[in-house]
Amino acid sequence: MLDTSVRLACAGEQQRVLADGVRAAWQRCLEPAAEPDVTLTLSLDPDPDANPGPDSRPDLAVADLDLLLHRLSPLVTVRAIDHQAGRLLMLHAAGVADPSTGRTVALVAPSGTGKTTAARALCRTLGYVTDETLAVREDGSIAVYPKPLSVLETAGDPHKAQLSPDDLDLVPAPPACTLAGVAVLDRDDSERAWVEDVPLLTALARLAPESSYLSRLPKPLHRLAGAVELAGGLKVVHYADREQLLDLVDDMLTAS
Amino acid sequence: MTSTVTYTPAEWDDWFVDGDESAVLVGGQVIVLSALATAVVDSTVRRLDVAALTDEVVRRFGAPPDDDPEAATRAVLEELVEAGILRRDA
Repeated sequence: MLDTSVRLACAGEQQRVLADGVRAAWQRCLEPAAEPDVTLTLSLDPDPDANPGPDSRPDLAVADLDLLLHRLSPLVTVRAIDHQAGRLLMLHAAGVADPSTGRTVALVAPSGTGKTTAARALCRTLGYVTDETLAVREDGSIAVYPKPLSVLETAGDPHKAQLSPDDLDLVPAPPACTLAGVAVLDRDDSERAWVEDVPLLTALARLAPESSYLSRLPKPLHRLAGAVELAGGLKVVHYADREQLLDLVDDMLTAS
Repeated sequence: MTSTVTYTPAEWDDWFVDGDESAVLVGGQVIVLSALATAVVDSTVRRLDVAALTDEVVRRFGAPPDDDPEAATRAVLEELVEAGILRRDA
C-alpha cells in the first residue's frame, strides 16, 4: 500500500483480539511479510500503561479495539506519507478505478467533505483505490491505498467505525491503476450536474493545498502539472447525488 | 530608492511557465503570475538590471498611461518581493 511496507506489531493482554481486528479492517492492504519501511507498535490492554516490550513504548496503547482502530488509520496514513515524501505525488483524494482497464479518477476534497461518501457510493461498481490519499508515481501509475473506511454507523457513536472495503462490498481495484482524471468534488443542490474545466495554472494553485509534501518532490510544480495534463486537465464536478456523480466519473473514465 | 538596488529570484521551490503566464511555488503556496509579472521574473532570472527590464517591459506591454515606466516596473518588482518571489539586494 502506498508503495510502503508498514509492520503493525500487536501487543498487550488482548494481543490476539487486536491482531484479528487489525487484519480484518486492513484486509486489502495485507502483503507478504517483508522488511518494513515503517513499524508501529500497538497495544490493546485494559491497562493502557502496560509496556509491550523491553525496548519500546507503543505508538498506540488503548483499552478499546474500536478506538484503537479509529486512531490507527490516520497514524498509518501519516507515517506512510512521511515515508513517501519526495517520491510520490500525494493528493487528498479518493480514487475510483475502472475495474477492467485500471483507469483511475482522483476525486479531490479536503478532509471531511465527501471523499469517503463518494468512494462508498461509486465503488459499488468501480474499483476502490482509496478514500484518503491518491498517490501517483512519476510514470502516472497509482500506488493504491485501499484502507478501511471511517463510517459513522449510528448517530451519537463516540467515534467512527473502521470498516474494511470487503465489509462494505466495494469492488476491488485492478492490479495496475493509472491516472485518467482529476476532479474536485463540489456537492451542491444543482438539478443538473455539470463539469467546470480549470485552466492549468489555476489547477496548480487549487491542488497544491490538497497535496502532501509537494515541495519535497523534485521540480514539484512540473510534476503536478504533468499529472494534471495526463489526466486531461483538472475539472470541478458539481453534482447533487450519487447517480449524477457516477455519470460524470464514467465520462472521465471513458474519455480518451 | 537608488538605482543600485537589484532584484534576484528568492528561494522558491519551483517555477512553472505555461505560455506567457506562470506559477511559483514558494513557502508551500502556489502563486499564479500574470504575463507582465512572468516577464519581470524572467528578467531577474536573466539578471537584467531595472533599466533594461523596463525597456523590455515597455517593448512588450507598452508604456503605462499615467506613470513613469521605471517607477511602474519598480512597483511590480516590489510586489513580487512582498510575495516572497523576488529578493531585493541593496
